[in-house]
Amino acid sequence: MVKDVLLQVKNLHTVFHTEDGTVEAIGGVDFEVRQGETLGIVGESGCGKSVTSLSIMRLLPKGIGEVPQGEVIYKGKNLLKLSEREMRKIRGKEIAMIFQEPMTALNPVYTVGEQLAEMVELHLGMSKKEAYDYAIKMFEKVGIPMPEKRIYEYPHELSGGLRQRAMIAMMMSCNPNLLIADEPTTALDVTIQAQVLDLMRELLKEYNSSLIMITHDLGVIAEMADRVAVMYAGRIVEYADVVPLFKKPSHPYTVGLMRSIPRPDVEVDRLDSIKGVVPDLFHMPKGCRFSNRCPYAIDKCFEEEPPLVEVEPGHYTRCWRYQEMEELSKHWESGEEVGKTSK
Amino acid sequence: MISFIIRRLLLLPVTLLGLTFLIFFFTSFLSPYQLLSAYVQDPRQLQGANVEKLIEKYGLKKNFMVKYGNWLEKIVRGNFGWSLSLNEPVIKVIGQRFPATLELTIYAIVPVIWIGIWLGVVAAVHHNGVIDQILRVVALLGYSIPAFVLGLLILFIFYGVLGWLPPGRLDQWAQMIVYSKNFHQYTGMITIDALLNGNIPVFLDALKHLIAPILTLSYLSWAGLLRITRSSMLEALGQDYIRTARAKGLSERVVVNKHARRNALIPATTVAGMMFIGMLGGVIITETIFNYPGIGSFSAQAAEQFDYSGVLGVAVIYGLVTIIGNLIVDITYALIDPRVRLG
Amino acid sequence: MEGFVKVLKKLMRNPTSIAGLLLVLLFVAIAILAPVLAKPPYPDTPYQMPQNGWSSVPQPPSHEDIFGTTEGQYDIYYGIIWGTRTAFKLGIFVIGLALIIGLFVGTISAYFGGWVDEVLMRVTDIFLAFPFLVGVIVIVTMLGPGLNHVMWALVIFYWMGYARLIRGSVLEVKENDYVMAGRALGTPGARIITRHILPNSIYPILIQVSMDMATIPLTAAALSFLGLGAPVGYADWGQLVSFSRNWIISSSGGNPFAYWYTITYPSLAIILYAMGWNLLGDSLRDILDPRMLI
Repeated sequence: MVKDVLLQVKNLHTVFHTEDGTVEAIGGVDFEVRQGETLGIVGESGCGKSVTSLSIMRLLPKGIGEVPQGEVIYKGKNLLKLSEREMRKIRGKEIAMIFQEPMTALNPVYTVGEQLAEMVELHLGMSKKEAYDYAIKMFEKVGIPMPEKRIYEYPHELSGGLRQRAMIAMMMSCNPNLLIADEPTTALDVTIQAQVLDLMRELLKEYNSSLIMITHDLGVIAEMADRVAVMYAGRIVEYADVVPLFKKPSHPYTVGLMRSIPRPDVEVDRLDSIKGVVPDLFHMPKGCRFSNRCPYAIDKCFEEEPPLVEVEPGHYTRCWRYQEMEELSKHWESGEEVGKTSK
Repeated sequence: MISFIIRRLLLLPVTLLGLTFLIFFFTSFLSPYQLLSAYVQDPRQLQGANVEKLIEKYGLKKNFMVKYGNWLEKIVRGNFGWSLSLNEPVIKVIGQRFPATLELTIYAIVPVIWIGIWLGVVAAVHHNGVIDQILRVVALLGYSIPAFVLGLLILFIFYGVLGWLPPGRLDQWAQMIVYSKNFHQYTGMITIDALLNGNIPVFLDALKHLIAPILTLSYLSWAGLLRITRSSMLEALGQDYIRTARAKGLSERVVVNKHARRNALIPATTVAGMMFIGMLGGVIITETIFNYPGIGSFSAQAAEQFDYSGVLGVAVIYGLVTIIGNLIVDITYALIDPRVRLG
Repeated sequence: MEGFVKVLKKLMRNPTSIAGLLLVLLFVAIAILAPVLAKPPYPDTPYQMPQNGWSSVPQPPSHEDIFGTTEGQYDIYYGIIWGTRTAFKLGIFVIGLALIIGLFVGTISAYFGGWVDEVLMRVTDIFLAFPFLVGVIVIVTMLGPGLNHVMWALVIFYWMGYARLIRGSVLEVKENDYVMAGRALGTPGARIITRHILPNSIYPILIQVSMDMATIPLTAAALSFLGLGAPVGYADWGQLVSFSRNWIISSSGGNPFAYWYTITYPSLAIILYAMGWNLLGDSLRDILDPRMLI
């Protein structure tokens, strides 16, 4: 059964106008989110995953961030073409967003109840009284104890876990079709992380909402996502359903990410990690953007950027050597010698 | 909140003691004969053989702590000595003139806070736009024109050239009424007293005399408040919770006026309090220029005529008002910022 | 050093900061070239304004006195040129000393913390419990008028801002891992201060100094205006302005514009001087304050 496509992002480009010139943070990103499904976007910090979500919501910093090219089709409408007024009706009501750090993402000078209530007053047309009652209900739903008391507390009076629950309650309060969660559990303790993820999954199921889960944590992806886009330096480098991706990663960056997770079933001397850091936007490698860190890079990789090709039905990758990847990925550590042509 | 106020109140006497000590410390430069006027309230005591006896009595040739103790005891009882410049007890001069200064400062500070904060918000919202640049230059001009120059220019234009705004506190005819028996001085603030007495002409005359000093006194302050509000507003607008507010679909007006401004007001409150204290200093210049009979012009006059008891007395009053002002600012601060309220 | 070049480059990009920089440089040049621009008739007392006669009525600009004269026939041009030196002298002396006291108090307070910090900060609070001008007036009254006394009075009531600023920076740096590590390894305190704390607070101090280079001479001028500053005849902008007071509001029914020059030139000098430093300070703040970078 193929579900309806809820959101389709086509050839999205985002640029930033900085003091030192204009840089491209996202260079042509395509993906789609289906009704009731979860898309995971994974990558290191600075790869453009957060910028992608802000571009969809049109919340890029004014005068600095801009989307010169691309389409974001939501229910048949291109969000990028909407007026600011129409867009405001989408934000919070149709598409809601959860941020990484609930301490800074919640306004410190208003009670958490007020911050939820003002949203439902706006979108659901409730009165102040109804909105506060509704806030109590939502808090209860996300498992905040003593909700009738908690709604009158300020963010700093809640624990990190409760704060993120309050944030989720707030963003789910208008029953959005799509939720974008930007590293929602990164700032939380590990035990709390699992609880919050469980809560999100339950709510999504109940509301039949879709989710874009942005994270650097493949564990979260494995647990939550139906489909995954791996981003690197403003590009999608691999895009596939979650099972094939984990079974048969076809891009060296994905391989590297997977190898940097500790696995109890495989004994390794040390944790592999990808050498180096994401290149800064002003100094992108000429060819494949991962070439300077890639253990399997060949001459071609430094000269020409590979296209996104379909490896198997629904599984795309952006690598010149994807056909050899299964073999190559067995030798990550000695990868630098494998198949590298001498100069 | 309560414990916060109690802690501040407990600190009050300590600060007051330190303050009087500091003021009195500077009298170490004076000879016993110069200092004596600060102890007596009857000018006849300052003549003849009595002088040596009094110097002996108050220990003015003895060590510092004795002198200080005797002086402190006097001022606690409300005896601030004899003003040589006005030939009246200092406490009486202060009693007459303080309401005039208070009237002037209150009229000056209210529009400052109102306009300064409003303009600061406008400048921040139009960050780096035309309005922002204009306000920036006007504010910098405000910093750069000293009060005595601005006051003289206002006096020159509105009195010298146009003859509209005369110096002083009241016209001759109005003075006759105010000091007559039928006119009750309830507060010593003439605009209020005039209204309470139902005398509109006196009210208008008093108001007319206030305009020029208010302009002079407030110009510098609203420029300062504008700059502070602007930068704290810019800081607030860059916070995560503003992005959250936008993601909730709130209109830009609500985002700015509710979510950002409330946070920006926290530093602005502190600065507004400092402005008020600065204004109390500023009245020295302003009142002197406009011959306005408040404690500011008195302190300048007393200083110029070596009226030591007058200067000491005014300094104590200034310190007292400043400390109380700071206390009020701190409490207001705690009321606005929920994070302090608990501490 | 590299940082300074970068800051300078950014300063040169903005027209308002260029204007500020030029104004400041102009006044620096005037101060340095004062003996050339206005040759002192008595080289031993260059700050004493020469008097061209004894008439109490100001004289309009003429070939001899290009900005005119004040009451008492003090040459306004001369007063403005040498008044520039007075302003710089005041600013450098007062800010220099206030900075040293502030550095001392702020560093000790933050470095030792505990009751030392508590006591020093309460003392600072007490000094802050006066409006600046009131505190200065108290001291000047007790010491007697005169420019030297004004300078000391300004220092005594101006170090607190620097103390707080520096204390804040030190506290921030103290939390840094490398400083903690340095302390654990026994790096001497003085070295920590010069290597880590000063570089960290240099920019906020720079902004503050630039603003204060305007504030301090303005305050001193205000005191002169009140008759508490420099002695009569000393080249000082505040005094020049106070000379004009009786002439621009002549209630005798005469033309109030007749003595325009008595207030125009001294005021312009003060305003342009302050404007220069304020523009510079404000631009520095825009460039250096990371909170402003949005």
